[in-house]
Amino acid sequence: MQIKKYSLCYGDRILAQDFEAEFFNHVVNVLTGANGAGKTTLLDFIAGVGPKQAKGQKINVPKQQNIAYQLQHIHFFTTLSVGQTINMYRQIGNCTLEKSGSTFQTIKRQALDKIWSVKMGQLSGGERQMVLTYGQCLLEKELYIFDEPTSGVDVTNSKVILKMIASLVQEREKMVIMTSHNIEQLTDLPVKMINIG
Amino acid sequence: MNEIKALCKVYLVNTLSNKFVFLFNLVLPTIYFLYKNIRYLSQPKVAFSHQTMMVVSYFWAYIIMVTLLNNVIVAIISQRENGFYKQLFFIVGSKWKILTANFLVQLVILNVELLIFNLVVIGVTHNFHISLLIAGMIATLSVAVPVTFISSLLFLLKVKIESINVLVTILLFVLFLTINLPKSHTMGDLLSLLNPITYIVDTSYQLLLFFFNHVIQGAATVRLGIVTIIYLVIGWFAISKLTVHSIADRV
Repeated sequence: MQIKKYSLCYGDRILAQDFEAEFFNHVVNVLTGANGAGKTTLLDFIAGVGPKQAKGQKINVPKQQNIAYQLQHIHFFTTLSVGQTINMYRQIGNCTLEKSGSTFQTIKRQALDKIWSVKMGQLSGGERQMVLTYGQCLLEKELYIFDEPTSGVDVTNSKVILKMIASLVQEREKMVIMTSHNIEQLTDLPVKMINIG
Repeated sequence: MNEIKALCKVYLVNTLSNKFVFLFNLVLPTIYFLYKNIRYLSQPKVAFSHQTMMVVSYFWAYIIMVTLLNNVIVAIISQRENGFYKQLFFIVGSKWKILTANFLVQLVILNVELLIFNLVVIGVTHNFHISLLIAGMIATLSVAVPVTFISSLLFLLKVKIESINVLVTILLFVLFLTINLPKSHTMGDLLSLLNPITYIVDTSYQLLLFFFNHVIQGAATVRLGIVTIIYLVIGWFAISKLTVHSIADRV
């Protein structure tokens, strides 16, 4: 999958000009760059919901309905319990993954079972991110996008989240693109770093 | 289909968690109806006259309009602004699935609301008529889609979420204020139906006439049919313009 001649200008402010990147499905593709460099906008562009100002060519990017996109700092429906949220993902996605995937079973047992009946609104930011990442990984899509999945998350939960994201590549050979500022957390993972800006 | 079923559960849990909205949609109009008609409680059976049907139609119109505006349209705008809509869009892959799920849940809630209101009407008038319950259900099913479609015009407004509730209150006020504008000719009748409240009142009244008096007013039914098509066309355009982008904040 490739992005070619990607440009993004807001008036006089040029965030990207003729940016090119190639993404692979045997590694986690990590977009890095300073705050305001346009990482989220590039993810939006790849997902087909970018601003009008973002221009460029997309080669072999899956159709929108085959893209899972985990947004940054989304609280989701706060009145739903963790169990209800995961059940929604199970019903939409592939619920057999949980039975066959050891990563799912371990994470559910170690992290999710104890907060299963807690409302999403009562969770910490890190716990919410973990629940939603778990749910996203239950979906059966071609491309998975995660925008700052470990931002504001403690070390333990970050490891769980990154383990789930890595399992998409290692166990299911899916294409994964994520953004991150915490490069040091990625040392144990198969990653390809792509710097923007 | 699985996606819609899963989203229906989510929307049902979410709607039932906010019971305050039922105060505005159902409890207030029911209290007002009781206040205006409390005298009938001590009287024997009250027959369903044309006037009774018209009064009931107005109350149905309020309940239907307010429920669809608040629970479907404003809810989607709110979800768009806080990013839930974008998140859901990439889970199910289609805005129509999100809209359908939310709409179906509210349609069930709307039917329950009208059922409760109609049971109050039956209690006050001491006149149990199954036709009232059936007409209420069919009225809801008939007008809910076109009214939701025309209300989707609100998706086009560049209004912040903080302002949308004020805007909806003003809109309801104006719509109710203009329902009894003089209609001097057929075109006036048709134009007045472009007010969704009038459209719901007229549809409800026609259904009540049919169920209670077995009367079908051909010209009125044709006018309602034309307006339904207009609502659907305008609504389709408005929904096609609905994007995941919030107006105020980047999500």
